[in-house]
Amino acid sequence: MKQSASLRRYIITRLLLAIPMLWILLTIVFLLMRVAPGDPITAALGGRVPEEELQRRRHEAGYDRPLIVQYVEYLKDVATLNFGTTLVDNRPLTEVIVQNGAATLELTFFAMIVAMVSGVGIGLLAGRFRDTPIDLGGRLFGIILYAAPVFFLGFLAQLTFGKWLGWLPTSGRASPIVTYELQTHTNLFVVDSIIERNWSALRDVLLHLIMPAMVLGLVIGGVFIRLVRVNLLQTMKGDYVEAARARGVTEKRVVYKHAFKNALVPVITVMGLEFAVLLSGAVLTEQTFNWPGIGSELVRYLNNRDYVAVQGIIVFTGIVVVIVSLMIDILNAWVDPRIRY
Amino acid sequence: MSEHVLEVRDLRVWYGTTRGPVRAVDGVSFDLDAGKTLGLVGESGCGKSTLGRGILGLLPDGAATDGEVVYDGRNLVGLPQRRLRELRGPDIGMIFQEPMTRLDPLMRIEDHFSEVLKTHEPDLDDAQVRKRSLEALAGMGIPPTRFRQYPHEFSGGMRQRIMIALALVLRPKVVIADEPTTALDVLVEAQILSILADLRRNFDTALLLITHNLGIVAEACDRVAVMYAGKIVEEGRSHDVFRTPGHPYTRELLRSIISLSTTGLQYIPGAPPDLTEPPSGCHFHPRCPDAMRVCADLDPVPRDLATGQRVECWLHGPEHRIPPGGQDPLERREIAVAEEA
Amino acid sequence: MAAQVDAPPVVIRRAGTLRRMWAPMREARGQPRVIVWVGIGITLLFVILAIFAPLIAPYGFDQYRTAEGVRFVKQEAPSAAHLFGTNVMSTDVLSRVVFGARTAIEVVLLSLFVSMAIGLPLGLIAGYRGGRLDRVLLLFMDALLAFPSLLFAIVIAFLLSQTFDRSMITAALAISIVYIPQYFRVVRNHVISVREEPYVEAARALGAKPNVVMRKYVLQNVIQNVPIIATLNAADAILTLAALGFLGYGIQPTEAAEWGYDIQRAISDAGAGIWWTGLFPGLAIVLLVTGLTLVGEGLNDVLNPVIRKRAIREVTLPPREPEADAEPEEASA
Repeated sequence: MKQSASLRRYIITRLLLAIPMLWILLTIVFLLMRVAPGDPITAALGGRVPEEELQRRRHEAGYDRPLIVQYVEYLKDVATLNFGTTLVDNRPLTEVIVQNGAATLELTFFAMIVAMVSGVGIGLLAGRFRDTPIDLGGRLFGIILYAAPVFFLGFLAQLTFGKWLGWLPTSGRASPIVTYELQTHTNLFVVDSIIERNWSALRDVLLHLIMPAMVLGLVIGGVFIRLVRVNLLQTMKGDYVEAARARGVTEKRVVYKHAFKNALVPVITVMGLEFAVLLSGAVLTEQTFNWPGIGSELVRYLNNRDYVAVQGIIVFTGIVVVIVSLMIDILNAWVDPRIRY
Repeated sequence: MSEHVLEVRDLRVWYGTTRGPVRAVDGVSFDLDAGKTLGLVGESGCGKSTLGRGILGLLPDGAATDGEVVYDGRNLVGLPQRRLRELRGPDIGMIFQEPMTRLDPLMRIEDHFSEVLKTHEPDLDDAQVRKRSLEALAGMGIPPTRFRQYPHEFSGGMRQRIMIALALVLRPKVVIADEPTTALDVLVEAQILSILADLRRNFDTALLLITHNLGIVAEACDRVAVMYAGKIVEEGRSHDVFRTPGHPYTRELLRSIISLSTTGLQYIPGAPPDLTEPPSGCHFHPRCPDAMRVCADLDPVPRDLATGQRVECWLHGPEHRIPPGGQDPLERREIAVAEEA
Repeated sequence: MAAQVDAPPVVIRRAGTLRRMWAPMREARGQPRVIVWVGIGITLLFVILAIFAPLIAPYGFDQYRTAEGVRFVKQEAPSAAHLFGTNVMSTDVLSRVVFGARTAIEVVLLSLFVSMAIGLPLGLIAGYRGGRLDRVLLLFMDALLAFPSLLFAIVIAFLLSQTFDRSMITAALAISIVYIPQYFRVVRNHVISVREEPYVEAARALGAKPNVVMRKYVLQNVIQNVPIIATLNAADAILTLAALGFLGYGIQPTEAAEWGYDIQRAISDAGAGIWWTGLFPGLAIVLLVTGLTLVGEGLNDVLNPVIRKRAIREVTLPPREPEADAEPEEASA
């Protein structure tokens, strides 16, 4: 059908455009890592390992070769998804990505759900009931959520729900027993415990998820409150809304079917933009709740000056960001029939 | 004379603003008859669009309406929104000016039709809805193959035709067309006008055609009402009004039309008045070349001329109402250059 | 046409630029106005704290004992001597909050200045010139924007710390680099949309030189939006600074007090039920960022004509005069 052909064309074009962006990101990362004086090997292991060993490692890793050669090697490695091995604890980075990445994925997934539900829900309410206490309360809530750093909310949550009320655990993905017992299939604890039909483990995992996901999700959601509200106010004044009213369409339908739906279209785009913020927030959340995600690993390796690990993690993050923004754009085009090339 | 389908008596629509009430429609009366077209002409800002919306009750917050709009024995002014909504569509339809933005971009044409049909005739089944929609579209020259397309896939002219089809599918007795061709090019305009002309013949619809284009009026309207600063200053059969205009404003308007035989530019000096503080007496007196003393003091009385036109102008008397000296020419200061629009 | 000149022609003066810009503020009613003023009030409060920090704070930012050398109690709950209590380093929380305001405002002002100095001109040129320069810059900036800004800031702060000694500078620079793409993008998009406006085209058709067009129309229009963007970016920058401090890559504790760093120290306190070490710095962040956001949002509401709600006054229509019947004309006039 005509429409899916143009959608397909859009997807292909978008894919092609993603490549230069990815390339630029990779180049920036490469240059940044080489900006630091000396080379990664020396920086990480200098003083801890004898000099000949250092030389050998440097030669092996290729740091004594000209920059251009290194650059080409680097791009080749990325293309083959060879992220290397960490310097300080000799872990293949793919392992780091899979294990810790899964932890971050779980956290961000549930946080995104919280963000969508709270942000869009409150935003719609605020816009619908403009200038009433609901609107004012919703907007204020949104601003405060944005203004509160995620680690501050985490602190308050730990204080209230962890210490004073004692309802929820304050650190880690699961209690030590569960972590030890649970078979890893996907490294996503929620999924794994369902596969295993281990309901007590599932409960434990979910309890550990609540605080970090809520805290991160609410902070991200705050942005959507404002966005959705403003969009709704604009669509309610739209020409097609007036025309629909002139045809006698019920007010309820005008608001929900026409105004709401159109107001939500830009939300998908913003979701894509917010993804980067989500990742930043995830790093902070992981530090606050001792969540063993890829963000905490990044911090740890950075502190140890393990540039190989840092580079690998950042490159991986860059790839994820480009892919996610690509998917969001395609989703956007699918929803809004006007977006085509 | 046959019964009027719609009777408007002394309609006033005032908006509240910080500077004072804007008297957009300030005591307007006219009738609409089945199968006949009334053209409502005036400059921008004279209140004609407000009048069109006022009849349907489609005004924004802060507008106060007064007077009578009698349809089917009921006065629409003051009717609760629920009742009005039932009338909008099947009884009184509206066609808007800017067709590009009048259709919901996320809904197919098919959905627009099923929405309007199901709202007013919920007993129709899908097959009937489809049949009636396609009939209406066919009448506008839109092929059934395009039924499931989205608004952005149509040109401006086609969208306007879809809007007209949407308005007509319910067979309303009255249609208000608010500058339906202003945003379209001349060729498309001709098409639309011929469609509207068919309306009268085939469906016996009463049409109120709001426009600032005198040419359209001459061509397409049985009667014409000339509006200035919230009041109708002249009304009658198009033929009569154009041949022997009774009001100086009408006369000046006709003189300022540019045609192939125009050699010099004629225009009416000055600008339309501020509707928060319209001039005393006859609103046109500051710009009227034939103004008399009485014109600045007293509101003109509606007069029925021998030709059948109704005019509001002191030039036509009644003489016994004019105070002594009132017929002397009005002394005015020179209109300063800076005051011209 | 009778025309006697008995009064001098009316001269109309256009209100000056500033007055015109301020006009929407006076017209808008209700919420937007209140919001802006509340925001300005809060921000002003923190600016005063920042400027007069040494006078307002009861103790130094890293002072852990009295003048006589008596050590403060560690993690003492709020008391008369320490209104906000003390933290794990035995320093006074209130003083650290006050000095933290100074740090925050200094760093953010500095970074704002740097990012605007680079981002604005780049955006103006790219937007107005268009062509290859624009496309290259746009691709570059978009790539930067796509990446999580905090991660970016962390890496840059870390790398810069190898070169610079003062963490104030590294933090400020790291933050500025993160925001340059934002200024660039906003300005560029705005310039492009203004550039396509009919009035710019008209000016060019009348023969106005590119410089004049840029300055008079494009710049003026864009300038109106800069305060809003700057305010909102400042709010974000404070959050970024706090995040850097929380992770340990921001202002080093020996140099100055910083709210994010204090909260990081306070996380372990939460387990012990010690609430004052984290609550007060956190509230300070929330307040200052809220204040700045209210100013930015409020200004946006006021200046954005689409959703600005014009004041509505109730109208009561005067009663209708009894309708005069239209009288037929007897003889022609």
